[in-house]
This record gives sequence, C-alpha cells and structure tokens, in this order.
Amino acid sequence: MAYSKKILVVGELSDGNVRGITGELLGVGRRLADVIGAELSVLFFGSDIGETAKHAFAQGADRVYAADDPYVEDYKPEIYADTVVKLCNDMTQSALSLGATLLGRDLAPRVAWRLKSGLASDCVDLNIDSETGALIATRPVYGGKALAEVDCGTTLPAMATVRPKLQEALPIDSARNGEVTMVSVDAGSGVARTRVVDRVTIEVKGMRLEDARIVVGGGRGLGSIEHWSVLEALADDLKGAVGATRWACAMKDTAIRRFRLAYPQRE
Amino acid sequence: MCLKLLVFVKQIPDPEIPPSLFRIDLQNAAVVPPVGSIPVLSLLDELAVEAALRLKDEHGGEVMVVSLCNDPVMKVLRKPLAMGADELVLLQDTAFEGGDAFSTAQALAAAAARIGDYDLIVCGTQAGDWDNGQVGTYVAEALDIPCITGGGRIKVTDGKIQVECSNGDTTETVEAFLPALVTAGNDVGKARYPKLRDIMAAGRKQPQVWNVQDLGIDPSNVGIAGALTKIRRLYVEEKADECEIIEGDTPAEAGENLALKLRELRII
Repeated sequence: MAYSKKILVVGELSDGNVRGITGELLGVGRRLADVIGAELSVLFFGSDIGETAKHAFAQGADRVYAADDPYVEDYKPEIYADTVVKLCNDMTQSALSLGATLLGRDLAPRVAWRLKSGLASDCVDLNIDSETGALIATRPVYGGKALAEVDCGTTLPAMATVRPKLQEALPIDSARNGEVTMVSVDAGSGVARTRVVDRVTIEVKGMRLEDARIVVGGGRGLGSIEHWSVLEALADDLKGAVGATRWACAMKDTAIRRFRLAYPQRE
Repeated sequence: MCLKLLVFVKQIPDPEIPPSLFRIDLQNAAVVPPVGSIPVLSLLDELAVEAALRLKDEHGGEVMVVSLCNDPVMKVLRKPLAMGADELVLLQDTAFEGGDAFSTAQALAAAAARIGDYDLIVCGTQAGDWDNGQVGTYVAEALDIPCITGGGRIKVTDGKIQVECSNGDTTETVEAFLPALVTAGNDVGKARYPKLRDIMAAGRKQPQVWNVQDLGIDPSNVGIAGALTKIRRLYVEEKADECEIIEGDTPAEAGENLALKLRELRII
C-alpha cells in the first residue's frame, strides 16, 4: 500500500533489544499515523541488527529501516544526521520523532537545521491539529512551571523529541511482520568531524535513575553536599535512586557526581 | 597558543521564582516576571563563561561574550565581564523579537561571523527558560564547524580540542579540530565568583551594541519572521496537590510514621 504521508521514528537499540523509548515512540507514532493516514517507519543504526530491528514491526511499525554497518555501531553525530536527512529527502516525511535521550538530544537539532524543520524538544505529548494538520507538541518549560504547546510549522518533516516513560508502547502484536529495508551509510572521509578518543565506564552503585520506581529527590534546600548521603541511604532502603534538581546538579562536586543524574537538566 | 573564545549567554527570568508568583500572559503566550524580581544569567551559560575563562587562564587570549537581548539588565549581563571576560557584545533590534531557537541562532551565527577568527565558541547546552537545547548546535551548523554537546572539561592542544562528555554511565573524550563549538553541561563545575573590585571595573565597561544592519543579515531570517516554530499556547497545568504532613514527637518518630504510611499505601 502506498502512503502519501509518512512518519519516521529514529529508533535506539541496546544489548540486542529495541529500547523502551523506541517502543513508546512507535506507540505515539502509530496513533498520529492513524489520524493522518500515514505510514509509520522506524530507522535503526547498528551492526548486524537485522533480526533485532524486525521486532519493531510487532511494536507498530509499517516499515523498518536499518543502517546496518559496523561503522555506525557507536553514535557518530554527523554520520547519523546525514543518514536521517537523506532518508527524509528520499521519502518526504511528514513528521520525524526521536527520543529525548542522550542520542536524540544531540542528533535532533543537527537534523532539524539541515532540513530547516521546526523542532520541539523534550516533549511530553504529540498531537495533530485537526484543522491545519500541523504537529502540535506539548512540552514543559520554565523548569516545569508551565506547559507550552508548540506548533512545529509547515516545513516537513515537523520534528520532536519525546521524553522517555511518558507515552505508552503498543501491546506486542506478533502477527505484524515484514522485511527490513537496508539503508546505506556514507562513511566517506571528512563527514565525521568529531571522534571519541577515550571512553571510561563509571562504576556507580545502586539503581539507575532511569530504571527506578522510587526516586528520592533533593535540591538546594538540603543546604550542603554532606547531607546528600542521607538521601543515598534512604534511596538504598527504599530500593530506589537519588535524583537532584538543576541547582544541585550544577554544584560540581565529587560527592554529588556519585549519584546518577540521568536527567540533570530537570528540576 | 593564545585563544579567541566566544561565549553566548542568555538573560532569563529567575528560575527560582516560586510557582505561587509565576504568572503567564495567556494572550501573548509569555511569562510575566513578578515585580521586583531580577533576571539571571542562564545557569549553563554561566558555566560556559567559566569553561572559556579557564582556557584563557591556561592559554592566554581573550573571551568575548555575545548576548541577544532586547531588554538587558546590565548588572546581569556584565557578570561575565566581572568574572574575567574581556568584551561584551549585545545584539539588539526589534527585528529579533519573537524569535525561536532557529532564528536566534541565525543572529548569533552572524555575530560570530562578524567577529571572525574565533578558535572556540562555548554556550550552555540549554537555557533555563525554554530548555530547547538547540541554539548551540544550530550555530555550529550555520558556521559549518564541529559541534560537541554537553561538554565538561575542555582541553586544547595543537589546534584540537578534547572535551569530556559524561552521561552517568560513561565518560567519553570527544575530539575535534578548531574552530569548534562546545555546549557546556553541568560537568564544567562551579563558576567562579566575581571579586568586588572586578564587579566595579565591569560596571565601567561599555558593551558594543549591534543591530540587524551591523550583522548584515536579512530581517526576515531573524525574530518571529525567521522562526520555524510557534508557541500556540502557554499555560500552567492545574494540579490537584494533596499534601499530608506526617507528624511525630521526634524526627525519628516522624520518620517511622512516614515509613509506616508508605508501607500502608504499598509504595514501599
């Protein structure tokens, strides 16, 4: 079936699985695609990922693209951006959504600039304006004190990054299946302008903030860095993680750095 | 090597304004700061200034601060000068009003191009008001220079930068050739406090003020005319807060009562 409208999700994989955020993006993408009668696609990057990428069909995708190349196993900003831009230019996309993850936050503006697309960052909800058909993104602003509804404008694709854990993934429908479409990667010299020269894994004890059901939060009111150990002890007892406000995160201190501040910019 | 460093900073309403005093002009989808509240420099932009000053301390050179602001509070925008920056450039023009990240970046990129010969541009990863996290990357794309986001410690050697970028699980060192742009994250560390003497000296420095003509850009590319996104509605979410204070004769007893309550609610 040929669709005139298309919605593309930039997917993420980790340890041979489709990441939670990608399932959530496919959930919201499916809802929007059904409203405007669009095809929902997802693009994955990685090496030897064909089988893993297929899972996205059962999560709501109509089409699955894979940039399957050892060169893009790790995130390479300029290469990823070029590949997404090329896919958007080849098949005009109505909307493009990414996770408001480390990857999405870095990649989305690079792509948006090249496509001259309106981008709404770190959204909590996406909808389609029933009159204009424009993508309307809802996002917290002013440290969460207010919500803004952003009209992503008329340049296609309209773009948004979506905050993890707020949208529902669809139930797995294993009857949905398909063939993965391969996408070539231009690994030519001169495209990559930044390169990772060293990578150190940080040993952090306790639960990841992303995975925690209970978060013990702290901020300026704690008064001093020494008091953070109280939060850590409480989080341990509750089998939760410690979170911190923006102010606390900026108080660069080894004591605080021990905590997992996966959302350092969130109050 | 002496470095020419540019820093972009943004003056924003004080994020510490308590929610009870936070007001919105629904008609214009704008925030109305409470009377008497003084704006601040966006926190991560202040860290960007700090990152640039450390490079100046180490290598020598100059730090130029650029800010697009039509209603500047000079005490706020002079803070980078008091911290040790050399010059302040204000981009001021009614044409800049109503801009989004995209059209703001056009003006900042034009300013950087006018200044020229910069080795490194630093700005905050995102501003503490709209939190878009886009302007830095857009400027780098516009200037066609490498961009590293969420940077912490920056090292410069032999025409290259190495930036430590930490994400909680790993710390990566990312390398690029100069000129480049780095967006500063929390890992930069604490910004220095200006000394009283330097605050006084900064107060006597006059900023350069550039408008659209000075930048040589088409007014249709900046402000609301050049914006790709539009704020359709800005509102405060109705929250039905229910807060129960758990009492106890001693802090220990209150803690115990809280734990019991949480257990009762099956939260723990």
